[in-house]
Amino acid sequence: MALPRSVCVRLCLAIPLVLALLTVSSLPATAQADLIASDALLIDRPNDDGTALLLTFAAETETPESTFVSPEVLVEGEWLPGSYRARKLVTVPSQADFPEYFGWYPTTPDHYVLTVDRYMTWVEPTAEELQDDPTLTASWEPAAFEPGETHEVRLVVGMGTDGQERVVQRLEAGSATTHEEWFNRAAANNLVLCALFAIIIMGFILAARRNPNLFIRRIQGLEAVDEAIGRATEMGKPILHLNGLDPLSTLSTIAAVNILGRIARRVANYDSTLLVPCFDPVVMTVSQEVVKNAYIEAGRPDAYREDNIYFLTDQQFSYVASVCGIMVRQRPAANFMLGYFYAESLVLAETGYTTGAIQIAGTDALAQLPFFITTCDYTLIGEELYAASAYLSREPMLLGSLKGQDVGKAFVMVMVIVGSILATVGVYLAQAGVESQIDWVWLSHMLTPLT
Amino acid sequence: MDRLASIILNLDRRIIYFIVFLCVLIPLLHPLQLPFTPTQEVRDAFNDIEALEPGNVVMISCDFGPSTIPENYTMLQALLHQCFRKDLRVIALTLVPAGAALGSRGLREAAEFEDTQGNRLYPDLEYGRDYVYLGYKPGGTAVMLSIGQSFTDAFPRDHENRVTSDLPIFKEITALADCSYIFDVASVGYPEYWVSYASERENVPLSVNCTAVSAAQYYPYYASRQFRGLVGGMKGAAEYEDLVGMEAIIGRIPDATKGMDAQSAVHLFIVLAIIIANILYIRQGRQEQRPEVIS
Amino acid sequence: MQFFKRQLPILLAFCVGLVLWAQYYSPSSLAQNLQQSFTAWAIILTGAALILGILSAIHHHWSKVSTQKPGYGYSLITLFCFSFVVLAGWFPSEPIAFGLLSRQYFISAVFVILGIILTVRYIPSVKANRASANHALGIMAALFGVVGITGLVVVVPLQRYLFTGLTIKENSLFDWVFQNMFVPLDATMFSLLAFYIASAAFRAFRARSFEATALLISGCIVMIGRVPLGEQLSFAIAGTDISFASVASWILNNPNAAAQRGILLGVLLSMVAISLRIIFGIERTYMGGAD
Repeated sequence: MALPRSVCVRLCLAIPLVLALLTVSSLPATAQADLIASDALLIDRPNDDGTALLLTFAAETETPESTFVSPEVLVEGEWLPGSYRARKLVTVPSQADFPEYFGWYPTTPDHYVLTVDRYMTWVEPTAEELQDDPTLTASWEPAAFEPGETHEVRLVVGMGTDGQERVVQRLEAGSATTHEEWFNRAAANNLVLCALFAIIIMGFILAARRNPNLFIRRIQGLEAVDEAIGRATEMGKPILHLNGLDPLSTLSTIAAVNILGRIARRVANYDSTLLVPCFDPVVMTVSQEVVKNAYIEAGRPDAYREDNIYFLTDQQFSYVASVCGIMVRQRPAANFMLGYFYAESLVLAETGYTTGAIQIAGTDALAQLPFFITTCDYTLIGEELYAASAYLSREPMLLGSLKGQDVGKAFVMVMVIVGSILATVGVYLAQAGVESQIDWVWLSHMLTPLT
Repeated sequence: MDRLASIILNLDRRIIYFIVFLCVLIPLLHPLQLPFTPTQEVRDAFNDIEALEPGNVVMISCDFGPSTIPENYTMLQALLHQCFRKDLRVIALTLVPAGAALGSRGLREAAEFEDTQGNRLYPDLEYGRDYVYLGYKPGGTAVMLSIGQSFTDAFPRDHENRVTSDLPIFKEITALADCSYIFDVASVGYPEYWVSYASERENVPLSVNCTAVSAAQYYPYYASRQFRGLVGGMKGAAEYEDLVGMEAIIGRIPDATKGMDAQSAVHLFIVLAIIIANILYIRQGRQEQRPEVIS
Repeated sequence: MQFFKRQLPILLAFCVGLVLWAQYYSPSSLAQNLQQSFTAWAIILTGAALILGILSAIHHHWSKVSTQKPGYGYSLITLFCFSFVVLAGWFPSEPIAFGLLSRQYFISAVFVILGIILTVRYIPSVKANRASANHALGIMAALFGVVGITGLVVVVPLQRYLFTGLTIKENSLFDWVFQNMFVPLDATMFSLLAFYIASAAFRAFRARSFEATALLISGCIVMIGRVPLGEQLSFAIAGTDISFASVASWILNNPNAAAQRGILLGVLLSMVAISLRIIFGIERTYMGGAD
């Protein structure tokens, strides 16, 4: 007997409803009553190369240790995983952890943030790949987002233990389009400060061209260079110069090679011998050129000996053993140790001391400064090494740059003092329970570089 | 007394060297096992690793050579045992040529460690899935920038010439930002570069193990939380061994802890020598100032 | 020619410096690809620079050997060790087979003999033309180029049959040399530091002035505080438990950190200034110093 049409329609509507009720009723009562996540929002990740979106959401749960979250991406009508594995909610950062994306005072600082930059596809090995390696199996392969793509993402919340999560909620977050940015706005303060510093340096260099008589305080170690070279010449012994153990890409090595040029000119005038055993082959090549030019400028090209500037080894203690051997055998009267040094600094300085040489050291390796200070006659500390080239040559451009650095340092000092006072006042007021509308750490936030 | 003072102040350095030799040798032969408490900077590094979840990836850079084995290699072993015990995955590499073989040896020793019964402590560990050693690549900071883009592009092959893109771990971990932690075990000046070229760029926390000589210069970074933890020298390595419980794991006193007694003895000798020398020096100076009495 | 030696490097430094500076502020894919390319080039150049150093070292030691300068025996040992380790690294894949002359050792012996014959052949010209170090360097480069190319032409096609590949395996000869020779030697050299520190501390740590005294006292406190002994030596002041360890920790975390930070800031600002000078062509030391 055929059923009436109206009864059929009602049955068709009722059956899915009953099934839905049955499904929902199989979930625990807590999952039905408490939605864990809410306010899911999908946005383009700012200041990036257009390969990621940010999924922010609020979540409240009594068991964050056993709550897991992961994104899913809609691809050709199918929801695919957005990450290799789900993350425990307690490990997910919040908006407050990303000032470069949400600012220092986000409106919803407690909202969690997941980065969605890929979806996983199930890839079966091809026949050719199986022929090469029969043990290959199907696996999840990531497919990264590209700029200009629009993706729809949802948040999946699970409960349970690691790897054994049970899905309790799926929350749609909408769709967003990835955008490639050409300028990182979060690093704008960094750019402004760099540009400002560059302008100050250039300004002082231009000023130095007009007025070359800029004052630099005495640096004892550099005043003693002439004395050391003269002493070596009188004793008829060579002068040893070390450029440190770093490559030429390190600025302390560049400063050391710069000073080598000045020393070489004076050595050429005094007709002494200069030994430069090098740790780096590129530094050796540049040192050879520098010394050669110095001899030419001093009018003594015939006195230049390329064999005195040579590469030893690029192994730290092999180099140290070799240089100590040179010190003990050839007994130089003056040792210049300028550049970046590591643990061997004390070995070198002590060996030089035992040979009776006058020693002038200069390094920006903070850990080695105490050793040099206690064992050498003169030590250039940190930036005194960088100032040495300006000090010895008295070139206006280098002097101007040095003055510009001093202005930069003064700026930093003022910022540190003012910022510390402001932050301290803020802390004391907060402790005293005084409410203030002023943001006492605005200076710190303004100057902190974000990448 | 003056003659004694003169002898001490002009003591032949060979005598000093011999006393130092005895101060190192005797405690090694007869350990005192003086107890010690881990410092806050070491605890911070340890706690950060403990807080990671199973499956998280720790990137370890083995930037040290044979000369600093007591300070760095011992720390590397403790760190690796902690990672493997917690089911953390490890990607290791090195930026110094001498570290290539040491990093490989360290990883192998920890991963294939056998207890006293000859059973492997971590039988489920699989190379390529749970740990990988990428080996050495020249370039220093260039390598740091490169792995910030892609591990497999920076290291197309690992230390044993396997193609890295075929390894299971790199199906999930594409670049440094996918790692949960960076640990630099260094004897050279790379830690500060790891801050600016890796940790801050990719927003991955960083801790450092360095030599005792370098430790003093890294306190500003620790104070500003750019280094989450700072494990300095052999003492730091011994503290880390204590926190990890290495003695229970390996069944004997760990190497850095063993060296603590010798270090205590040498430090004590140096301090006493300095104090005695200064007392005599000051006394000599006062005697020179005192006018001669003519009777 | 002057353009290539003077103006071109400055122009390159300026352009590349500005591009890399701008690249730092751009997250775009173009900027990232540019950075990747430059870092790859930097890695390649670092490796290539090693060749320069190797040739310089060989030339230096070979000159000493050929002219029999005092101490030339050490140079001979250096050259032998250098060749041995290079060849051990070139054929590293087979485990050590003591008592058996495997094919790769035979081939390596052939290369060594070939290299010696060629070098001896050219010694007269080196001796006759000693003033021309570049000529000698060129000869050395050609020799090693010949040996190297021969090795590649013979080794690479035959490696599938001779050895399992150019990997450094456990228990290979290279690994043995590293673990049993290089590691102990390097550790020995570093251990000298302990003795030097003791003699330097005894000699140089004198209370000559207020600063020296402050250095002395803080150094002693940190030395004692950083060993387990320091924790055992504690003293009570005004009811508190203060030990050498806690004072040492305070010194390291407060005055030390502050002082290091101050020096570091100055150094870093100087680095920025020098970098700007290099980019704008004011600092030209890297070109050889001529202004």
